[in-house]
Amino acid sequence: MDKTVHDFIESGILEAYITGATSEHENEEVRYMKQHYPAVQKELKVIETSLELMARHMAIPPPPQLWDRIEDEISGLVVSDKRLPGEKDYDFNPGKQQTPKPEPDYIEVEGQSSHMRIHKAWKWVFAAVFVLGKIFLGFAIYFYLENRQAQQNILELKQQLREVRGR
Amino acid sequence: MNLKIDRSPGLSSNDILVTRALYYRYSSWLLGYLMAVLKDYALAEQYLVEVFNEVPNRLHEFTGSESSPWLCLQVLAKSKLKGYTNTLRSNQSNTNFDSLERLKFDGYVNAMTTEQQIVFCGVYYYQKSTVLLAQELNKADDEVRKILKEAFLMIKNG
Repeated sequence: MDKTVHDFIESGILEAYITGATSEHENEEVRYMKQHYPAVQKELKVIETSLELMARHMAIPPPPQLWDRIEDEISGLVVSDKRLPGEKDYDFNPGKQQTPKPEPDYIEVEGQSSHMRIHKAWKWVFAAVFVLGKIFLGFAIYFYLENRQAQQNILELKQQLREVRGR
Repeated sequence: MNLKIDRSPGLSSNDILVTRALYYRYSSWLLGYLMAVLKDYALAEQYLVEVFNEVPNRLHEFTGSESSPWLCLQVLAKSKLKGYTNTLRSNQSNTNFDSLERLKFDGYVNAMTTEQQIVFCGVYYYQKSTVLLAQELNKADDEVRKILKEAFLMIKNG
């Protein structure tokens, strides 16, 4: 190996470059050496591998639902290239004759997430609806049982009446 | 009236798929790195989300770079952590040899000498340049780089 290249590698500048601890001038120097000397390129790969080894060793798995949170945020705005059949683009200029344009002036945005977000205040509304629902259900059951009891009483009274008349 | 609407570069479904692949491959590595810097799980998780929110807009840097995706992710994370590390640096203007609590990281770093720990952690975790570390340690820049190289050799040799 060329002594200059060897000294360059041994100086520790490559390690500093990989970790972002070099100046812009030194970065250019490293890029130049990397381009012209395969040994420098190889050494950079070795340093990258060392960092990967360390990162793998120190890895901490994130919570399972974290990707869903990230996906919700980044997929909120996804450009769709789909266009409705026969749809044309127009220049938004009232003083000018409307002419179709080859490139669209707008982007169609579609949400890919199947979730929706609502204000937290709605939880009290949902809670109130739930409680009222339970109250109404209780009343309905109560009145149903009352009604059934009343029907039975009427039947019994009619029966008694028939018996009295029969005598 | 001429209404001009800017067409901003949007994200495609493919961008999200690539981001997801990067997330599943590197999120645990990045969380480990962020934890080592921040020492706060909730904050590290918040930074992780911020980094991956940014990834789809920076995919061209991943594909255009010869460096590994892990290195690109680290550059992105370091740019996000810049403010934090600057604050940390201003609060602790000089490296304190006696207070090595912040240097307790993991097996690799623990196996290093104190000098190697200070240089490696200063550069890798706290974004200090070798010039700044040379000033702090009262050593020549070349000497600090040699120490950094030795630290990397320690990692390479396990």
